Amino acid sequence: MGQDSKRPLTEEEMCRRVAREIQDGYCVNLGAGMPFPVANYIPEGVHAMMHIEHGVLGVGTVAEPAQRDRDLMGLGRRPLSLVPGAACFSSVEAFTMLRGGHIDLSVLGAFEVSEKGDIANWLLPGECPIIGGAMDIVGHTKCLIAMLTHTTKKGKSKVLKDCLLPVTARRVVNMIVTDLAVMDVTSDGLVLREVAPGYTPEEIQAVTEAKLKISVDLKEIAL
Amino acid sequence: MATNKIYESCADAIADVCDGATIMFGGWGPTGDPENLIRALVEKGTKNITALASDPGNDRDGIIYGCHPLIKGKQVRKFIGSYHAWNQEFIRQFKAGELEFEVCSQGIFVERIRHGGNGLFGFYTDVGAETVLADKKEKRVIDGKTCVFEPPLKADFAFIKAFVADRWGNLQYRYTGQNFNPTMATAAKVVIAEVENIVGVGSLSPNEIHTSGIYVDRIVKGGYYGPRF
Repeated sequence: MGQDSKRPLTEEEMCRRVAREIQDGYCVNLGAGMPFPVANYIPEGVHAMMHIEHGVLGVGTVAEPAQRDRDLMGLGRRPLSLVPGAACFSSVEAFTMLRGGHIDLSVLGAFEVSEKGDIANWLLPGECPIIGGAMDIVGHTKCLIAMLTHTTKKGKSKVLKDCLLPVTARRVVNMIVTDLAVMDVTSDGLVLREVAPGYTPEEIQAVTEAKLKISVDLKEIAL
Repeated sequence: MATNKIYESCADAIADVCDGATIMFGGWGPTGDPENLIRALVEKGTKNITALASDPGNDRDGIIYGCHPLIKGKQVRKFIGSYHAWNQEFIRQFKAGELEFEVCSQGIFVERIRHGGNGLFGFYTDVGAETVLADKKEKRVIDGKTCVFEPPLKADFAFIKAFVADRWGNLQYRYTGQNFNPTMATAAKVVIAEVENIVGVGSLSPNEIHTSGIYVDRIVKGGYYGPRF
Protein backbone atom coordinates (compact mmCIF):
# COMPACT_ATOMS: atom_id res chain seq x y z
CA MET A 1 0.00 0.00 0.00
CA GLY A 2 1.61 3.27 -1.09
CA GLN A 3 1.82 6.41 1.04
CA ASP A 4 -0.80 8.12 -1.15
CA SER A 5 -3.58 5.93 0.10
CA LYS A 6 -2.55 6.14 3.76
CA ARG A 7 -4.99 8.35 5.64
CA PRO A 8 -7.33 8.46 8.62
CA LEU A 9 -11.04 7.85 8.07
CA THR A 10 -13.38 10.77 7.59
CA GLU A 11 -16.33 11.06 9.98
CA GLU A 12 -18.60 9.76 7.24
CA GLU A 13 -16.37 6.71 6.77
CA MET A 14 -16.39 6.11 10.52
CA CYS A 15 -20.20 6.21 10.43
CA ARG A 16 -20.23 3.74 7.54
CA ARG A 17 -17.99 1.38 9.48
CA VAL A 18 -20.14 1.61 12.62
CA ALA A 19 -23.30 1.06 10.56
CA ARG A 20 -21.99 -2.35 9.51
CA GLU A 21 -22.36 -3.50 13.13
CA ILE A 22 -26.14 -3.04 12.89
CA GLN A 23 -27.85 -6.35 12.27
CA ASP A 24 -31.26 -7.10 10.88
CA GLY A 25 -33.92 -6.69 13.56
CA TYR A 26 -31.80 -4.55 15.88
CA CYS A 27 -33.18 -1.67 17.95
CA VAL A 28 -30.47 1.00 17.97
CA ASN A 29 -29.85 4.26 19.85
CA LEU A 30 -27.45 6.80 18.35
CA GLY A 31 -25.92 9.57 20.41
CA ALA A 32 -25.76 13.22 19.45
CA GLY A 33 -22.82 14.51 17.44
CA MET A 34 -20.53 12.11 15.63
CA PRO A 35 -22.74 8.96 15.85
CA PHE A 36 -25.98 10.59 14.68
CA PRO A 37 -25.45 10.13 10.89
CA VAL A 38 -24.78 6.38 11.31
CA ALA A 39 -28.47 5.81 10.49
CA ASN A 40 -27.81 7.06 6.94
CA TYR A 41 -25.42 4.19 6.22
CA ILE A 42 -27.27 1.11 7.42
CA PRO A 43 -26.50 -1.61 4.84
CA GLU A 44 -29.23 -2.44 2.38
CA GLY A 45 -31.49 -5.28 3.46
CA VAL A 46 -30.87 -4.61 7.16
CA HIS A 47 -34.03 -3.43 8.90
CA ALA A 48 -33.35 -1.75 12.21
CA MET A 49 -35.62 0.32 14.45
CA MET A 50 -33.94 3.53 15.52
CA HIS A 51 -34.66 4.77 19.03
CA ILE A 52 -34.34 8.29 20.41
CA GLU A 53 -34.79 9.44 23.99
CA HIS A 54 -37.25 12.05 22.77
CA GLY A 55 -39.74 9.21 22.74
CA VAL A 56 -39.69 7.37 19.43
CA LEU A 57 -38.83 3.85 18.37
CA GLY A 58 -38.85 3.81 14.59
CA VAL A 59 -37.25 7.10 13.57
CA GLY A 60 -36.88 7.56 9.81
CA THR A 61 -34.90 10.09 7.85
CA VAL A 62 -34.86 13.83 8.51
CA ALA A 63 -38.28 15.09 7.39
CA GLU A 64 -38.66 16.87 4.05
CA PRO A 65 -39.76 20.52 4.43
CA ALA A 66 -43.36 19.73 3.46
CA GLN A 67 -43.57 16.96 6.07
CA ARG A 68 -42.09 18.87 8.99
CA ASP A 69 -44.10 18.70 12.20
CA ARG A 70 -43.36 20.85 15.26
CA ASP A 71 -44.31 17.91 17.48
CA LEU A 72 -41.89 15.51 15.84
CA MET A 73 -38.32 16.60 16.38
CA GLY A 74 -35.13 15.00 17.61
CA LEU A 75 -31.54 15.80 18.44
CA GLY A 76 -30.30 19.16 17.28
CA ARG A 77 -33.85 20.35 16.44
CA ARG A 78 -34.00 17.95 13.49
CA PRO A 79 -37.52 17.47 12.12
CA LEU A 80 -38.05 13.73 11.98
CA SER A 81 -40.03 11.26 9.96
CA LEU A 82 -41.29 7.91 11.19
CA VAL A 83 -41.04 4.46 9.64
CA PRO A 84 -44.02 2.08 9.48
CA GLY A 85 -44.40 0.42 12.87
CA ALA A 86 -42.99 3.39 14.78
CA ALA A 87 -44.27 4.13 18.26
CA CYS A 88 -44.17 7.36 20.27
CA PHE A 89 -44.07 7.47 24.04
CA SER A 90 -43.01 9.47 27.08
CA SER A 91 -39.47 9.96 28.44
CA VAL A 92 -40.14 7.42 31.19
CA GLU A 93 -40.85 4.77 28.56
CA ALA A 94 -37.92 5.88 26.39
CA PHE A 95 -35.54 5.30 29.30
CA THR A 96 -37.21 2.05 30.31
CA MET A 97 -36.17 0.77 26.88
CA LEU A 98 -32.60 1.98 27.41
CA ARG A 99 -31.91 1.19 31.05
CA GLY A 100 -33.99 -1.96 30.96
CA GLY A 101 -31.61 -3.55 28.47
CA HIS A 102 -34.09 -3.67 25.58
CA ILE A 103 -31.90 -1.81 23.08
CA ASP A 104 -29.47 -4.00 21.10
CA LEU A 105 -26.85 -1.42 20.25
CA SER A 106 -25.98 2.12 21.24
CA VAL A 107 -23.30 4.34 19.76
CA LEU A 108 -21.94 7.27 21.75
CA GLY A 109 -19.32 9.91 21.17
CA ALA A 110 -16.56 10.14 23.79
CA PHE A 111 -13.77 12.41 24.97
CA GLU A 112 -11.71 9.42 26.11
CA VAL A 113 -11.98 5.64 26.44
CA SER A 114 -9.82 3.19 28.35
CA GLU A 115 -8.54 -0.31 27.64
CA LYS A 116 -10.92 -1.59 30.33
CA GLY A 117 -13.94 -0.13 28.54
CA ASP A 118 -14.29 2.99 30.68
CA ILE A 119 -15.79 5.99 28.92
CA ALA A 120 -15.57 9.72 29.66
CA ASN A 121 -18.06 11.86 27.78
CA TRP A 122 -19.79 14.31 30.11
CA LEU A 123 -17.41 16.63 31.96
CA LEU A 124 -14.44 18.72 30.85
CA PRO A 125 -12.49 20.64 33.50
CA GLY A 126 -13.99 24.07 34.10
CA GLU A 127 -16.82 23.47 31.65
CA CYS A 128 -20.57 23.21 32.16
CA PRO A 129 -21.54 19.51 32.44
CA ILE A 130 -23.42 17.82 29.61
CA ILE A 131 -24.99 14.44 30.30
CA GLY A 132 -28.27 14.25 28.41
CA GLY A 133 -29.21 10.60 28.61
CA ALA A 134 -25.68 9.19 28.16
CA MET A 135 -25.27 8.03 31.74
CA ASP A 136 -28.50 6.03 31.53
CA ILE A 137 -27.37 4.43 28.28
CA VAL A 138 -23.86 3.26 29.16
CA GLY A 139 -23.79 -0.17 30.70
CA HIS A 140 -27.44 -0.89 29.96
CA THR A 141 -27.73 -1.54 26.24
CA LYS A 142 -26.66 -4.96 24.98
CA CYS A 143 -23.68 -3.50 23.10
CA LEU A 144 -21.99 -0.10 23.32
CA ILE A 145 -19.75 1.33 20.61
CA ALA A 146 -17.67 4.41 21.44
CA MET A 147 -16.85 6.62 18.47
CA LEU A 148 -14.11 9.23 18.64
CA THR A 149 -11.00 10.53 16.93
CA HIS A 150 -7.99 8.45 17.94
CA THR A 151 -5.96 11.41 19.20
CA THR A 152 -6.48 15.03 20.22
CA LYS A 153 -5.62 17.75 17.72
CA LYS A 154 -2.21 17.91 19.41
CA GLY A 155 -1.70 14.19 18.81
CA LYS A 156 -2.35 12.88 22.34
CA SER A 157 -3.95 9.46 22.57
CA LYS A 158 -7.62 9.38 23.57
CA VAL A 159 -7.45 5.57 23.87
CA LEU A 160 -5.85 5.23 27.27
CA LYS A 161 -4.85 2.82 30.03
CA ASP A 162 -7.06 4.87 32.34
CA CYS A 163 -9.27 7.84 31.51
CA LEU A 164 -7.84 11.15 32.70
CA LEU A 165 -11.20 12.94 32.57
CA PRO A 166 -14.07 12.14 34.97
CA VAL A 167 -15.67 8.90 33.75
CA THR A 168 -19.30 8.40 32.78
CA ALA A 169 -19.09 4.69 33.66
CA ARG A 170 -16.49 1.93 33.90
CA ARG A 171 -16.16 -1.33 31.94
CA VAL A 172 -19.09 -0.61 29.63
CA VAL A 173 -17.64 -0.10 26.14
CA ASN A 174 -17.62 -3.20 23.91
CA MET A 175 -16.07 -1.75 20.78
CA ILE A 176 -14.14 1.40 19.84
CA VAL A 177 -14.21 2.93 16.38
CA THR A 178 -11.78 5.76 15.68
CA ASP A 179 -10.47 7.43 12.54
CA LEU A 180 -7.47 5.06 12.72
CA ALA A 181 -8.71 1.77 14.10
CA VAL A 182 -11.45 -0.63 15.14
CA MET A 183 -10.80 -2.23 18.51
CA ASP A 184 -12.67 -4.73 20.67
CA VAL A 185 -12.66 -4.37 24.43
CA THR A 186 -12.01 -7.83 25.87
CA SER A 187 -11.22 -9.19 29.31
CA ASP A 188 -7.63 -9.39 28.00
CA GLY A 189 -7.56 -5.71 27.04
CA LEU A 190 -7.89 -4.04 23.68
CA VAL A 191 -7.72 -6.13 20.54
CA LEU A 192 -6.87 -4.25 17.35
CA ARG A 193 -9.10 -5.72 14.65
CA GLU A 194 -8.90 -3.25 11.82
CA VAL A 195 -6.65 -0.37 10.82
CA ALA A 196 -7.21 2.66 8.59
CA PRO A 197 -5.94 2.29 5.01
CA GLY A 198 -2.17 2.15 4.78
CA TYR A 199 -1.44 2.01 8.52
CA THR A 200 0.55 -0.73 10.19
CA PRO A 201 -0.41 -1.99 13.67
CA GLU A 202 2.90 -0.59 14.94
CA GLU A 203 1.91 2.88 13.74
CA ILE A 204 -1.45 2.59 15.50
CA GLN A 205 0.24 1.42 18.71
CA ALA A 206 2.63 4.39 18.50
CA VAL A 207 -0.30 6.84 18.86
CA THR A 208 -2.19 4.72 21.40
CA GLU A 209 -1.39 4.90 25.10
CA ALA A 210 -3.25 1.67 25.86
CA LYS A 211 -1.50 -1.58 24.98
CA LEU A 212 -2.99 -3.19 21.88
CA LYS A 213 -3.17 -6.89 21.13
CA ILE A 214 -3.11 -7.53 17.42
CA SER A 215 -5.94 -9.71 16.13
CA VAL A 216 -4.85 -12.73 14.10
CA ASP A 217 -7.47 -11.60 11.56
CA LEU A 218 -6.18 -8.03 11.39
CA LYS A 219 -7.34 -6.22 8.27
CA GLU A 220 -7.80 -2.83 6.76
CA ILE A 221 -11.10 -1.07 7.39
CA ALA A 222 -13.13 -1.71 4.25
CA LEU A 223 -14.38 1.60 2.85
CA MET B 1 -68.04 17.57 36.67
CA ALA B 2 -66.89 19.93 39.37
CA THR B 3 -64.77 23.03 39.05
CA ASN B 4 -64.08 24.90 35.87
CA LYS B 5 -60.39 24.48 35.19
CA ILE B 6 -60.25 26.74 32.16
CA TYR B 7 -58.41 30.04 32.46
CA GLU B 8 -58.89 32.90 30.05
CA SER B 9 -55.22 33.79 29.76
CA CYS B 10 -51.79 32.47 30.68
CA ALA B 11 -51.35 35.51 32.96
CA ASP B 12 -54.46 34.46 34.91
CA ALA B 13 -53.34 30.84 35.03
CA ILE B 14 -49.98 31.73 36.64
CA ALA B 15 -51.14 34.69 38.77
CA ASP B 16 -50.22 33.00 42.08
CA VAL B 17 -46.70 31.91 41.08
CA CYS B 18 -44.51 33.82 43.51
CA ASP B 19 -40.80 34.55 43.80
CA GLY B 20 -38.78 31.52 44.91
CA ALA B 21 -41.22 29.01 43.42
CA THR B 22 -40.05 25.59 42.25
CA ILE B 23 -41.43 24.97 38.77
CA MET B 24 -41.24 22.00 36.40
CA PHE B 25 -41.26 22.80 32.71
CA GLY B 26 -42.24 20.11 30.21
CA GLY B 27 -40.72 19.90 26.77
CA TRP B 28 -37.44 18.91 25.29
CA GLY B 29 -35.72 21.24 22.92
CA PRO B 30 -38.30 22.89 20.72
CA THR B 31 -40.97 20.24 21.24
CA GLY B 32 -43.68 20.12 23.88
CA ASP B 33 -42.52 23.21 25.76
CA PRO B 34 -45.19 25.43 27.35
CA GLU B 35 -44.04 28.52 25.49
CA ASN B 36 -47.08 30.69 26.19
CA LEU B 37 -46.89 30.03 29.95
CA ILE B 38 -43.15 30.76 29.87
CA ARG B 39 -43.74 34.08 28.11
CA ALA B 40 -46.35 34.97 30.73
CA LEU B 41 -43.83 34.19 33.46
CA VAL B 42 -41.31 36.47 31.78
CA GLU B 43 -43.87 39.28 31.76
CA LYS B 44 -44.77 38.62 35.38
CA GLY B 45 -41.07 38.91 36.27
CA THR B 46 -41.05 36.15 38.92
CA LYS B 47 -37.54 35.83 40.41
CA ASN B 48 -35.41 33.22 42.19
CA ILE B 49 -37.10 30.35 40.41
CA THR B 50 -35.88 26.80 40.86
CA ALA B 51 -36.51 25.38 37.40
CA LEU B 52 -36.71 21.67 36.58
CA ALA B 53 -36.46 20.86 32.90
CA SER B 54 -34.60 18.58 30.55
CA ASP B 55 -32.50 21.52 29.40
CA PRO B 56 -32.61 25.33 29.44
CA GLY B 57 -33.74 25.69 25.83
CA ASN B 58 -32.07 28.16 23.56
CA ASP B 59 -32.35 30.99 21.08
CA ARG B 60 -30.95 29.82 17.78
CA ASP B 61 -31.41 31.67 14.53
CA GLY B 62 -34.33 33.54 16.10
CA ILE B 63 -36.08 30.33 17.11
CA ILE B 64 -36.65 30.67 20.83
CA TYR B 65 -37.69 27.64 22.85
CA GLY B 66 -37.77 26.12 26.31
CA CYS B 67 -36.81 28.05 29.44
CA HIS B 68 -34.37 30.29 27.57
CA PRO B 69 -36.40 33.51 28.02
CA LEU B 70 -36.35 32.93 31.82
CA ILE B 71 -32.60 32.26 31.78
CA LYS B 72 -31.99 35.35 29.68
CA GLY B 73 -34.04 37.45 32.12
CA LYS B 74 -32.06 36.00 35.07
CA GLN B 75 -35.27 34.77 36.66
CA VAL B 76 -33.81 31.34 37.44
CA ARG B 77 -31.60 30.86 40.50
CA LYS B 78 -31.23 27.10 40.34
CA PHE B 79 -31.65 24.73 37.43
CA ILE B 80 -32.14 20.98 37.73
CA GLY B 81 -31.74 19.20 34.39
CA SER B 82 -29.55 17.03 32.20
CA TYR B 83 -27.55 19.31 29.90
CA HIS B 84 -26.96 22.90 28.86
CA ALA B 85 -28.27 22.57 25.29
CA TRP B 86 -25.35 24.75 24.16
CA ASN B 87 -27.19 27.75 25.59
CA GLN B 88 -24.37 30.29 25.80
CA GLU B 89 -26.12 32.55 28.32
CA PHE B 90 -26.85 29.55 30.56
CA ILE B 91 -23.22 28.45 30.34
CA ARG B 92 -22.05 32.00 31.08
CA GLN B 93 -24.27 32.30 34.17
CA PHE B 94 -23.15 28.87 35.38
CA LYS B 95 -19.45 29.68 34.99
CA ALA B 96 -19.93 33.08 36.65
CA GLY B 97 -21.59 31.41 39.65
CA GLU B 98 -24.84 33.30 39.04
CA LEU B 99 -26.81 30.12 38.43
CA GLU B 100 -26.72 26.84 40.35
CA PHE B 101 -26.94 23.79 38.08
CA GLU B 102 -27.82 20.39 39.55
CA VAL B 103 -27.02 18.02 36.71
CA CYS B 104 -28.75 14.67 36.51
CA SER B 105 -28.80 12.07 33.74
CA GLN B 106 -32.03 12.54 31.84
CA GLY B 107 -33.58 9.15 32.57
CA ILE B 108 -32.83 9.49 36.27
CA PHE B 109 -34.22 13.03 36.22
CA VAL B 110 -37.57 11.87 34.87
CA GLU B 111 -37.63 8.78 37.10
CA ARG B 112 -37.12 10.99 40.16
CA ILE B 113 -40.10 13.04 39.01
CA ARG B 114 -42.09 9.84 38.48
CA HIS B 115 -41.36 8.89 42.08
CA GLY B 116 -42.32 12.38 43.20
CA GLY B 117 -45.70 11.95 41.58
CA ASN B 118 -46.25 8.33 42.57
CA GLY B 119 -45.99 8.48 46.32
CA LEU B 120 -42.63 6.72 46.13
CA PHE B 121 -39.60 7.82 48.05
CA GLY B 122 -36.71 7.32 45.65
CA PHE B 123 -34.73 4.43 44.26
CA TYR B 124 -31.31 2.88 43.86
CA THR B 125 -29.57 2.87 40.49
CA ASP B 126 -26.16 2.13 39.05
CA VAL B 127 -26.54 5.13 36.71
CA GLY B 128 -23.78 7.56 37.61
CA ALA B 129 -22.62 5.38 40.53
CA GLU B 130 -19.01 5.43 39.28
CA THR B 131 -18.93 9.16 38.64
CA VAL B 132 -18.01 12.16 40.75
CA LEU B 133 -21.77 12.85 41.00
CA ALA B 134 -21.99 9.84 43.33
CA ASP B 135 -19.50 11.21 45.85
CA LYS B 136 -22.10 12.59 48.23
CA LYS B 137 -24.84 10.07 47.54
CA GLU B 138 -25.91 7.16 49.72
CA LYS B 139 -24.58 3.89 48.27
CA ARG B 140 -25.59 0.27 48.47
CA VAL B 141 -24.45 -2.87 46.63
CA ILE B 142 -27.35 -4.64 44.89
CA ASP B 143 -26.81 -7.80 42.81
CA GLY B 144 -23.09 -7.12 42.99
CA LYS B 145 -23.42 -3.61 41.57
CA THR B 146 -22.69 -0.42 43.43
CA CYS B 147 -25.81 1.72 43.31
CA VAL B 148 -26.63 5.21 44.50
CA PHE B 149 -29.83 6.45 46.04
CA GLU B 150 -31.80 9.00 44.03
CA PRO B 151 -34.46 10.95 45.92
CA PRO B 152 -37.81 11.98 44.38
CA LEU B 153 -38.40 15.38 42.78
CA LYS B 154 -41.52 17.47 43.35
CA ALA B 155 -42.46 21.06 42.61
CA ASP B 156 -44.88 23.81 43.52
CA PHE B 157 -46.00 24.14 39.92
CA ALA B 158 -45.72 22.15 36.70
CA PHE B 159 -46.06 24.03 33.43
CA ILE B 160 -46.86 21.47 30.78
CA LYS B 161 -47.92 21.48 27.15
CA ALA B 162 -50.36 19.15 25.41
CA PHE B 163 -52.00 19.20 22.01
CA VAL B 164 -55.58 18.95 23.17
CA ALA B 165 -57.45 19.02 26.49
CA ASP B 166 -61.06 18.39 27.28
CA ARG B 167 -62.68 20.76 29.72
CA TRP B 168 -61.97 18.44 32.64
CA GLY B 169 -58.25 18.34 31.87
CA ASN B 170 -57.79 15.02 30.12
CA LEU B 171 -54.80 15.54 27.85
CA GLN B 172 -53.51 14.19 24.60
CA TYR B 173 -50.03 14.77 23.17
CA ARG B 174 -48.61 14.35 19.70
CA TYR B 175 -45.45 12.41 18.77
CA THR B 176 -42.37 13.69 20.64
CA GLY B 177 -44.48 16.41 22.26
CA GLN B 178 -45.11 13.98 25.10
CA ASN B 179 -41.59 13.73 26.56
CA PHE B 180 -41.55 14.93 30.21
CA ASN B 181 -45.06 16.40 30.24
CA PRO B 182 -47.15 13.43 31.45
CA THR B 183 -44.68 12.67 34.26
CA MET B 184 -44.42 16.27 35.43
CA ALA B 185 -48.23 16.40 35.44
CA THR B 186 -48.18 14.02 38.43
CA ALA B 187 -45.52 15.67 40.57
CA ALA B 188 -46.49 19.27 41.35
CA LYS B 189 -48.96 20.87 43.74
CA VAL B 190 -50.48 22.91 40.93
CA VAL B 191 -50.40 21.60 37.36
CA ILE B 192 -51.04 24.11 34.60
CA ALA B 193 -51.55 22.70 31.11
CA GLU B 194 -51.15 24.87 28.07
CA VAL B 195 -52.92 23.33 25.07
CA GLU B 196 -53.56 24.13 21.44
CA ASN B 197 -57.18 23.04 21.53
CA ILE B 198 -59.89 22.63 24.15
CA VAL B 199 -62.80 20.28 23.46
CA GLY B 200 -65.90 19.27 25.38
CA VAL B 201 -65.87 16.53 27.98
CA GLY B 202 -66.54 13.25 26.20
CA SER B 203 -65.03 14.41 22.92
CA LEU B 204 -61.78 12.51 23.42
CA SER B 205 -61.84 8.75 23.12
CA PRO B 206 -61.01 7.17 26.49
CA ASN B 207 -58.55 5.02 24.54
CA GLU B 208 -56.55 8.04 23.45
CA ILE B 209 -56.05 9.99 26.66
CA HIS B 210 -52.41 10.14 27.80
CA THR B 211 -52.83 12.19 30.99
CA SER B 212 -55.97 11.90 33.07
CA GLY B 213 -57.65 15.13 34.16
CA ILE B 214 -57.19 14.02 37.77
CA TYR B 215 -53.66 15.50 37.61
CA VAL B 216 -54.53 18.76 35.87
CA ASP B 217 -55.59 21.82 37.86
CA ARG B 218 -55.66 24.54 35.23
CA ILE B 219 -56.06 24.58 31.48
CA VAL B 220 -55.27 27.48 29.19
CA LYS B 221 -55.29 27.76 25.44
CA GLY B 222 -51.94 28.95 24.10
CA GLY B 223 -52.33 32.10 22.07
CA TYR B 224 -49.25 31.96 19.87
CA TYR B 225 -46.93 29.23 18.72
CA GLY B 226 -43.67 30.55 17.34
CA PRO B 227 -41.70 29.13 14.43
CA ARG B 228 -39.74 25.95 15.11
CA PHE B 229 -37.95 25.39 11.82
